[in-house]
Amino acid sequence: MTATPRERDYDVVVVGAGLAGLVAAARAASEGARVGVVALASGNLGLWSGLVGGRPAGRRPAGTDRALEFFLDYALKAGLPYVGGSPDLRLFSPAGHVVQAVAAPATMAATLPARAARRRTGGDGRPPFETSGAGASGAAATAPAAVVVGFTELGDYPAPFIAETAGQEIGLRVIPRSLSLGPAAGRGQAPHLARLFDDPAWFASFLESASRFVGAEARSAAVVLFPPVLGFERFAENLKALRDALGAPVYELPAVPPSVPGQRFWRFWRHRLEADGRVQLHVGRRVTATRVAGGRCLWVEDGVARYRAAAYVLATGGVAGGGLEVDPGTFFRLSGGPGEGQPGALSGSLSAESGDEAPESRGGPAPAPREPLFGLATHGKGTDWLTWGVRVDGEGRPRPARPGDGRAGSRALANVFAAGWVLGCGRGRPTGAYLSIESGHLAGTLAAGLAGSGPGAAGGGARPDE
Amino acid sequence: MTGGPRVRRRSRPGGVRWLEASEVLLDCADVVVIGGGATGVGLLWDLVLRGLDVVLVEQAGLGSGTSGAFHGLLHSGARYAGTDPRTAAECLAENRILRRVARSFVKDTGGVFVRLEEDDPEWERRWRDGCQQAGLRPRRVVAAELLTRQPSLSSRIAAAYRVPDAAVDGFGLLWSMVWAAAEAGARVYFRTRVTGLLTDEAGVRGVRVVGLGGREEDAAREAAEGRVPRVEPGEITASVVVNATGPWARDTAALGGAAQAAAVPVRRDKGTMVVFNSRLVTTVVNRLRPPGDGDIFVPHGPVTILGTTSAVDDGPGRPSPTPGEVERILDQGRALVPNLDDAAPLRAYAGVRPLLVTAAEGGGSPGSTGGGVPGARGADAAGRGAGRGFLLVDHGEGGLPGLVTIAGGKFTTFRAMAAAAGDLVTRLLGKRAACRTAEVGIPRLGRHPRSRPAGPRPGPGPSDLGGPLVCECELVNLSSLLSLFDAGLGLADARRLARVGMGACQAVFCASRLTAALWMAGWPGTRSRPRADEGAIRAEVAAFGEARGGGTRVVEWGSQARLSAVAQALDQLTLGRPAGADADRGRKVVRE
Repeated sequence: MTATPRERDYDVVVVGAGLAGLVAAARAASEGARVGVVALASGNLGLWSGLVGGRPAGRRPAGTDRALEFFLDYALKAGLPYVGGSPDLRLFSPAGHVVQAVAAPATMAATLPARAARRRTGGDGRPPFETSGAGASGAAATAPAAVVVGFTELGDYPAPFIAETAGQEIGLRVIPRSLSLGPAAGRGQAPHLARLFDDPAWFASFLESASRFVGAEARSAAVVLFPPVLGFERFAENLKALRDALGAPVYELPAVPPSVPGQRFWRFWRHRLEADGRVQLHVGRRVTATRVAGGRCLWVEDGVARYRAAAYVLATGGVAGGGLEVDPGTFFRLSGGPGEGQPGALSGSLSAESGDEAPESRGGPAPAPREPLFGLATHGKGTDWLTWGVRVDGEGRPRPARPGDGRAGSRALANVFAAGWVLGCGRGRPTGAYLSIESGHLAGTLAAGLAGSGPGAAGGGARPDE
Repeated sequence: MTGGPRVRRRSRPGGVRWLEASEVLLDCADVVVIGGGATGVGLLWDLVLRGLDVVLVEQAGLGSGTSGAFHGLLHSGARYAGTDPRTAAECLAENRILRRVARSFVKDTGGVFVRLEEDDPEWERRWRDGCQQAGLRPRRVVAAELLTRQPSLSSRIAAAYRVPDAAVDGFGLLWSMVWAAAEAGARVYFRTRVTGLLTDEAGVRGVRVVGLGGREEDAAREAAEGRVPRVEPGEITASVVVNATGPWARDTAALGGAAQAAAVPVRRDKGTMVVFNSRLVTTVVNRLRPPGDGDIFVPHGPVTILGTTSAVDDGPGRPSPTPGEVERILDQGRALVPNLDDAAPLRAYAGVRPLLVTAAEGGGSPGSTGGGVPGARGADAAGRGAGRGFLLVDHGEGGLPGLVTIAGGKFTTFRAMAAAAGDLVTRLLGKRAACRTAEVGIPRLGRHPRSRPAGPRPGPGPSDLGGPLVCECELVNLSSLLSLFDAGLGLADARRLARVGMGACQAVFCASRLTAALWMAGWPGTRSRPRADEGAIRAEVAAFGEARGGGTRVVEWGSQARLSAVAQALDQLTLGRPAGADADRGRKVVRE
């Protein structure tokens, strides 16, 4: 029953392959570490719209954000270019509202028409808009500033509604155009449509009808926005073909899940990491056991193999990703209290079956006690699952469940770093994709440094967290 | 269903619609029924079948009070056999009738009563005696045989009996009665509050009403806070006004004066239930012991409902489930289904029962009591303590002719209550028309494409089989949803009628599609008269989500916590809505 599992040795092991895990793995590998990624699946990437938002105001002086620079650079290498950095982008949200984003896929990085832009003030090197020549008053009434193209089969993308909201937001005329894709669209699921757009023959016929039905308005519009389903692989070519055919700047809008841009990210970054040679991905594996001794993590195991490394990155996701679990019973103490939770009410998945005892009795009748290893904190008002996460020290190492448990300072384990939503987001803290990129970058840097393959753990990316 | 209802057609077309806040309604009828719950709707159907002209007014939505938050259980009566054999007998009789006339709304799951080893055997004897009195013949089941059919039950079964309990689709039943009545000329107004009674020297001759418009949640909240829109009230004149406002019957009777309120000794009793995302049992399972908190499991389609608690409700408005109640229900439920924690709870909800109060408890009312009213079957239940019998009051005996109150009772006996009230109303009108609800079948909405009431008919028709799905959990397609909106209904109504957002995702993933559907429907107008208003649409979707959230927050653990976290991420990170007041308001409910 206790056959010795295969042993695998790395410098750094990353648990979880969502945004934070992939960034941490890429960063550690770029620092020269040999990296193993153990993950059940692609995390919440299928839910991610692709936009990078959530950097708190004033967090970094523009242009000195190393995490973001690394991300943009690696994304370009992965063949999925992102635009961003400085200044922040103004984009439409999936509901048509104007939102600020730190970065966005190049396919979405449209410059929104604004009244100022109509006066031909090209700000940051982007070309000014072609407003059809006439005076602002007369032309603005007839020529739409933007065209929101929808597909009637894609129920999650209500083009008329988005156009209405968007028009109110920017104070200009935004018109919807709905195209039907016919029986080929199936039940109109976004991934199905993306596969359809990857078919060059089908796309050629689509292009012809699109230019016929959208062409007239498109040519006079400052921007034409399509649902983000223009292919998993061929989206760049498709976008270019649409721009040529319509004679207008064509971009994708972010959308609600299931999100094709998030799945593109998974495909492209995974391929790039595997091509790197320094990273091995073990996907479809759930970490079921860990060994902790002497204030360090010794190995993690997934039932197939045992992974040893000098440092570990815990990028398992928050409550949404399944990295934190909420038990019945304990929940009531959480919400019934004055706002602060009690330690152990949520249990980190790494701690679920760990402890100082080796869980060699796995499979026996008595499950290992669910002794929490890490302390938890709420970074908001304590009312919101996104704000719950593990407490960490200034370098992203989880703190112990009970104060004073740590053997070295205030950290629970010397060689474990946490990244992504497992940290929880909250007011004044990074949220969403930016949280994953920043903390993944930091964890990757420090883990590689600990493994002795990088420039050292005292890397400049460190930031005080609490 | 022979020939359908034979009724006189009115020149005025019947219909179902909202009343906007700006509208002044003027209508007249033989009878005005106040309250759109099972009792009111049952009475509407009863009176329409008697050939009367009826108007029903409801301040929120159909079945938005007690009838929208019950267990979904068609009692065999066995539940009451140990405490109240008379109610038990009444339930049994009604159970048999409804199985006949409302066949398509009753899912014959059957039911069992299970006594566990730790339960008192003396109660079992008392219960069997009660069943005997009520005319029930519970069949003994061998424990081992029961366990092969219901493997999730505890193996510590001391005794088990089979009874004719069943699951009932309350929303479908009410909607079908409303639409059948509307087809026959009755008018049904939602978001319409009665602000006063029209009286003259002969007594009550109608009601004053104002339209509330807007969202059902707002209407309910405003009612709870006692706020009345300042508009010119409309009037509905009628010879008889029937107060069928269930737990709030006393407040409604108070419109006729303190003496009339005292004649309606009803108090509110809160019950909380938990919905699980799977069919834990395939038959109704009751625990054979004195009725307690978490001892009935009712399988309903893909889910199971466990409940229910009982506590005095003295707050205004609709009650919310509390974590303590949910914990108590789960504790009790685990005795019957030991692996209860393996099933994910979807949400919890709470309703209020109208309980009849004893004379002592009621404070010795000086006004008329229901005791002397002929036809008030079960009225003396009020004398036996808080019972589940019902009360029929002819306020004419207390000095206010033309006002009738029907209160108390339970969903299973709604038809009998309506029949008793209908007899009284017919007599007061000086007409002769017998009750026909025990014979005429209730046509299921959407299956009888005959003539239609004003406006399109809701429910999926034959041409609606295609079209994209809006709600993937409950398989609701766009065209059927649009036809509901065209009929002037909102999301809360669509939820009850088409079960939108009631499935596993609890409206987390379909919110954007609902938004689009409302847009396409020209909300708050209709497709034929569109006046799409972004603010109103957002408010409607937000209110819908909030109403769902109130029930999911008290069961947020395991997969439900993950779903909530995803919902928050969608709202705050993807759609860019701020972590708003909605979430905070919902949480406060939890802390109470």
